[in-house]
Amino acid sequence: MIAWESKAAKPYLLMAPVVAVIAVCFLLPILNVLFLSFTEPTVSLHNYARIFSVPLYLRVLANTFKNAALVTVICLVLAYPLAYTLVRRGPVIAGILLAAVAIPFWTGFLVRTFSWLVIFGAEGPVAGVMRWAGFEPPRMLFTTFAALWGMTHILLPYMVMALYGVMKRINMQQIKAAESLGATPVIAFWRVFVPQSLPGVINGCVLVFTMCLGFYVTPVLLGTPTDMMIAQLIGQQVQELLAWGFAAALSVMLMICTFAILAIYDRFFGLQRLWG
Amino acid sequence: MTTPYIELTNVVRSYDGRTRAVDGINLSVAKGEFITFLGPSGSGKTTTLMMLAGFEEPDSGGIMLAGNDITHVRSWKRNIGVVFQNYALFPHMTVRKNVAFPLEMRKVDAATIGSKTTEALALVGLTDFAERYPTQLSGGQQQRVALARGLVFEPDVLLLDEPLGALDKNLREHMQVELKRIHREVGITMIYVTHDQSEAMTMSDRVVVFRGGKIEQVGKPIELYDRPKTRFVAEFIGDSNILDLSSVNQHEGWVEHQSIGRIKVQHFNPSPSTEPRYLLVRPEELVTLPDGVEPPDNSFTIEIGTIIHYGNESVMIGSIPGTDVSLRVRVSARAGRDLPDRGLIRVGWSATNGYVV
Repeated sequence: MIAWESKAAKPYLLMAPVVAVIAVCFLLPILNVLFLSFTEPTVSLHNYARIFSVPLYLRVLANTFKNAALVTVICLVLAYPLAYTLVRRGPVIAGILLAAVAIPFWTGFLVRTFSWLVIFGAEGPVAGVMRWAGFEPPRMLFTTFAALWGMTHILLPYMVMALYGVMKRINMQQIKAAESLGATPVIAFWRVFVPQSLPGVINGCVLVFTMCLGFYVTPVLLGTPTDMMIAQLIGQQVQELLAWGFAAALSVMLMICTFAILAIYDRFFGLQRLWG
Repeated sequence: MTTPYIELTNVVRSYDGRTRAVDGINLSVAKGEFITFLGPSGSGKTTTLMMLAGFEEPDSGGIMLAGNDITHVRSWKRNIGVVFQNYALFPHMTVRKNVAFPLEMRKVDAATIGSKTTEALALVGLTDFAERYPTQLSGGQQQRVALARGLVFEPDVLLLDEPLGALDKNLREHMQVELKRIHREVGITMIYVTHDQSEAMTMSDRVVVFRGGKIEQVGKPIELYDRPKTRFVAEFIGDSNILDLSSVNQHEGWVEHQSIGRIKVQHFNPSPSTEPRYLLVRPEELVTLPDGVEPPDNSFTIEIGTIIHYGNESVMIGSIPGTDVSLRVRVSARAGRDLPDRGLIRVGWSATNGYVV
């Protein structure tokens, strides 16, 4: 009996270091934020009431969802044909394309964000090409467009990987089978390939959408304060107004939204499938 | 054979522009025939099937089906059913939806789809499984779904690409019987690809033996077994004893082997394609000769090497002392158990049982 107990205890012992790290570095700060949101400056629900009573803050929340949804859709539209090409082409082309997706993925996103600062700058290459072609370049930097562009660039690999992981398990002989049964290639694609790729679509969208909700650096650096997202608002409250309590309440809101999406996903698909 | 239903004329297909996967195939198939393409991997049998299905296009040559030139017709415009080795069922559709798919593609009305699908599922014995998904079925059941799906739209021909390759032995034999039953009931022309010669022997009306992109021989299974045109066919189909011959005298009815001398033979390949020539004697044609038994036309003493007991029969492998000639003798299970483990034994065969390839 004792031997059995010690055996059963061992796996938990092995988990102890990671549990300790998560508790200290992750759970404690979250609990602290939760605590702050109810106590700072006074013990009340005032911080939460403020989110829902000031239209500006609700607009920021709505804007966050709108931008996240836009980035998700753009990522999906760009990534789907790419992932499809990856699985349909030979290993050489697939390898090159996969590397093209993965290399920026490994480059720090701060580096990638700054590179867009250069590219979209008033004296940058895009503006240069436009002037050369005889157009007066519009303002590109510090716009919603630039923020969406930057976030799409950074999150696209996640979408590609999520789609590719599911697509490469689809047996391509089914397409041939469908064609032999009278389906044109277009119909075979829509009736046989697309339905089976949907788990990848859902995975990729959840991944990109939830990551996008909390995106901070890229929209701050490339975007405009008039099109603020929630992470930006939190930063502003902390850094400029030292409104710790309100910032904490906003953070809790963001966390609840993210958890809600993941919970819905878990309810219908199972969270463990998110990682392929 | 009556007028050909399917006709391949000088069909050539190369993947790299140099080596030919299919190298000038000519073949006629009658309506309702069960034809098997038999050959080792890389012999061109699957490529030929893929060209019939429309997944591959010949570099040259032509394919006719029911009087129409289908050489360059896309696969979805041909009326041909294909059953794949890995089944290629649609995992996101129920069995019923899978079988209904080709009918939906043909814009058949819903009532007809319902009745035809039910009928096809009954034909393969899967009536009770219509609402299941393919992953909930065994390999054999999945294969039946693939069959029902390939037959339900009444195609001109059903192509089967090693359909039983992934099944275990007992199930495979069961499915062979099933396939033959379905072939009889439906009366459809079937072209079946396999590298398993016993499958080809038991199921086919005719067998096409492929080798190196060419057709080695076409014939009824028993013809291929008894009268192979080449050494390759003799070795590929069934178990065989093959002796290299140094000379052949068809007129006097004997052949000569370098180390064991003259052998009497009655049957000769009328149009031999190769030199040197070979003598084929099937292991079941050899008999052991106890003392005092009148020897047949040819008899030799062999030294017993190995005896393999299969349960229902045994095969003795021995060599003629002082030569490099090894002979396989098939005996009954009972006789196999009574054979000594080693020692010398006389074996022989009559002149009618050899065939000079």
